[in-house]
Amino acid sequence: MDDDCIIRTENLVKKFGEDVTAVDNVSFEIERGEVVGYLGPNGAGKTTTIKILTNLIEPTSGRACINGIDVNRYPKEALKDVGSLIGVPGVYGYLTPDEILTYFGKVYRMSKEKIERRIEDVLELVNLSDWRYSKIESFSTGMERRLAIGKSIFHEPSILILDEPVLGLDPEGIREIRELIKSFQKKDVTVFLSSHLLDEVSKVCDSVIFLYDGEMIERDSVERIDQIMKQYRVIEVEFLDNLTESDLQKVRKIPVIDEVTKINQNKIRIIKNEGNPASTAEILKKVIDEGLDVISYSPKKSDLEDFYVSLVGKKGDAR
Amino acid sequence: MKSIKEDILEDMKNTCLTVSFELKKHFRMKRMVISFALAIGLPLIFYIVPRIWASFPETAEEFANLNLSFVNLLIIISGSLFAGDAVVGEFEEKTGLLLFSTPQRHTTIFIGKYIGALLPTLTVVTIYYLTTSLEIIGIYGTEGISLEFFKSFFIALVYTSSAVSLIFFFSSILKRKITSTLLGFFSLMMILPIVSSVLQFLVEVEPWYILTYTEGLITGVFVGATPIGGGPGGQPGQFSPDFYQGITIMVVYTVVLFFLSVFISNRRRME
Amino acid sequence: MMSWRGNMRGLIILVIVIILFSTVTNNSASAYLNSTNQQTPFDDFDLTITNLTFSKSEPKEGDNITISVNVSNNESFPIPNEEIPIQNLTLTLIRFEENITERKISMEPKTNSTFDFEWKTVGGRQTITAFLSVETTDSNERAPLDEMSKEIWVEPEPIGDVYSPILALAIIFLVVFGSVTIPSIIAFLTDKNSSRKEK
Repeated sequence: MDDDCIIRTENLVKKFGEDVTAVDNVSFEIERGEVVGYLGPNGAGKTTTIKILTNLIEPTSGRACINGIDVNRYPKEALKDVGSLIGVPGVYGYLTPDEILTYFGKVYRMSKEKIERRIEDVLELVNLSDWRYSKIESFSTGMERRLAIGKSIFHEPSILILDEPVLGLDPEGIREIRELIKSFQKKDVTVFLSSHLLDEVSKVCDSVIFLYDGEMIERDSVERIDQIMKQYRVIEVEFLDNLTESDLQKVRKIPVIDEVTKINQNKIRIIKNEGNPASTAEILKKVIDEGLDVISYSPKKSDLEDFYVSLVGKKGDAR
Repeated sequence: MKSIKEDILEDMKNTCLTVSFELKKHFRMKRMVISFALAIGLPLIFYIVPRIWASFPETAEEFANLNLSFVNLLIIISGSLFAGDAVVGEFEEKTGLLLFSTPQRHTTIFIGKYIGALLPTLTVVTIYYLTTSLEIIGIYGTEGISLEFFKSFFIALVYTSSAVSLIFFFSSILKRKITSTLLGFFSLMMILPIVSSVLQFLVEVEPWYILTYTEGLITGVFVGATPIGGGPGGQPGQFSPDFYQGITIMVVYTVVLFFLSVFISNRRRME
Repeated sequence: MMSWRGNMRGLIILVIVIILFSTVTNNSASAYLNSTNQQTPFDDFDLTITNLTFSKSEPKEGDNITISVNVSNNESFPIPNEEIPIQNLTLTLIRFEENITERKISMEPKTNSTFDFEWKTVGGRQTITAFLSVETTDSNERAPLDEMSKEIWVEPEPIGDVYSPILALAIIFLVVFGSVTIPSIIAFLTDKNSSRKEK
């Protein structure tokens, strides 16, 4: 095993009952200092994977390791340097941030002085300094979320596992978390985060893992994906008349077209499978040749979302 | 990897942390205040009312017998308060997402929660007995504290452990705090006592295996007092719990339900 | 898991059954005690219980004591008496509506007699009732003549000891606190096993 491999899953499978396979044979490795995004739609298996990595549930088969240690078998050793934020955790409303952080500080075997110092630092970082001794039941959702983030970084872990970290935060809060994660990159902290906000993920992550229906469908660096999508691969086309299903089929049959999705009754988005400008012109000619009246033809710079949509489309077609 | 000794010490430390966290929780939710108030207030009623309106019983044993016949109520109320939501609360409120992802064995967390429910309930019962003993000394002198009083006290503590285990068990298997608290409360208050009565009066068999039947030992040891329902010298046709058998049943309930609860809680996952 | 509604229904049914049972059933181990309220042809007989005494005033539980009952026949004829006709003059000792013992007795006219009964004491405050009754030749029913009750305090035997519940508590604490070590031991043994298998 590579010494730099911090988080590793091996053929991870999680089934709920006979019918539901939430995680289906997922294997990946994350190296020290990497910031990896874990992307997928609702029900893809992201949170399930993260729960296995943090010993909240056990896998049906396969294993999850942190620093080479099986998480479910040796949770004390595996998780001692891990900070995590999973889903929307409840908070102990009758306690104060000071009490909660003190408790978790003791769990992570921090000294009294360090706990005291870190409480001040972390609460300032998450903008809760004024609320140190207030009961959490008076907090808003955003404040609770910030406190949960504060708890995850309280013991200065070298590994962070975050499930939808910006959920419930306003744009200012999202920006602050983004900056926080970027600061971790500089400190060589390994971050594994799942999110729906593909734009956010593309701004902070080094690489992304795409999950669909429990299966890992792609893993690539954000830089390479950007390069792939840099060329104009997405074209939005508006037609004079409403499109029928047979019209869509005609467009789909055009070579170099990967995916056609309907935006509305008379507008579609085309994703090409390569970025050659000549093919962009060729597609326009073929669409007109099919007898479809085009009123607007707009090649666009695609992004991570488009890349993901195209991956999901391919996966759906393969099924 | 650590040695087994280091591992055990670490687990013990984690358990202690959980216990102190639970105690803080009980304190903050005013459960301690309510229980302590009951533990002092209930026996005071048996002191104040006779002093003002009536007279005290002839013997200290009669006084203790009457006073301590309500300790069962206190055990049920306190046990429900402290143990009713011990496990289920973490799952229902999703605070387990914070707690269970820490570097601790889940077993140590659940054991800590059990102790965190047991200790305050035992403390409350001790306060009740302390208050009663002060009253006895005040009315009858120190000679009023008999060996039977201490027997009753220790039996009450054993019974408290079994009651807490039962309520903790409900907390480990049910999905909602309110259901587990109420089920624990009503099981000890009504359901089991009714089953016990039905077995005694209708079927005419001794319900030695029913937990609430053994509760009779708490005041049943006061052999010098008029029995309040059953007990030595009670009506023929009723049963009285055998001393050693009763204590054994309480211990069995405590240990079995404790292990079952921890096992089931451990199998539960934040799914 | 059964719903709490199902439990409540069962509970209500149980409560109704118990209430019905207690009103319908009359636990009359000695139904003839109730007949003291009824008028009988023997009400005018001057046959009375004059005294009831115990051989020990403060016995301990399990002691054998003698209960002495004085009966006085103030009539001018003996009882039992075929001419009247009455038979089976019975003296019964009752504790909590249950017979301790009974004996058929006979009395000469204008006499006082003392009848002794042996009783193994039961602990607590006990009420002993001596009950005098007769049977007629016409029916098998007993007619009451007189009764007398007296209380006696029987010092009960102490129940159990103080060390057993202390020991029970110690066991509980040992089990609960000791259980913290179990996961470590299991993990240690599992590791040992796996490393042995690997070798």
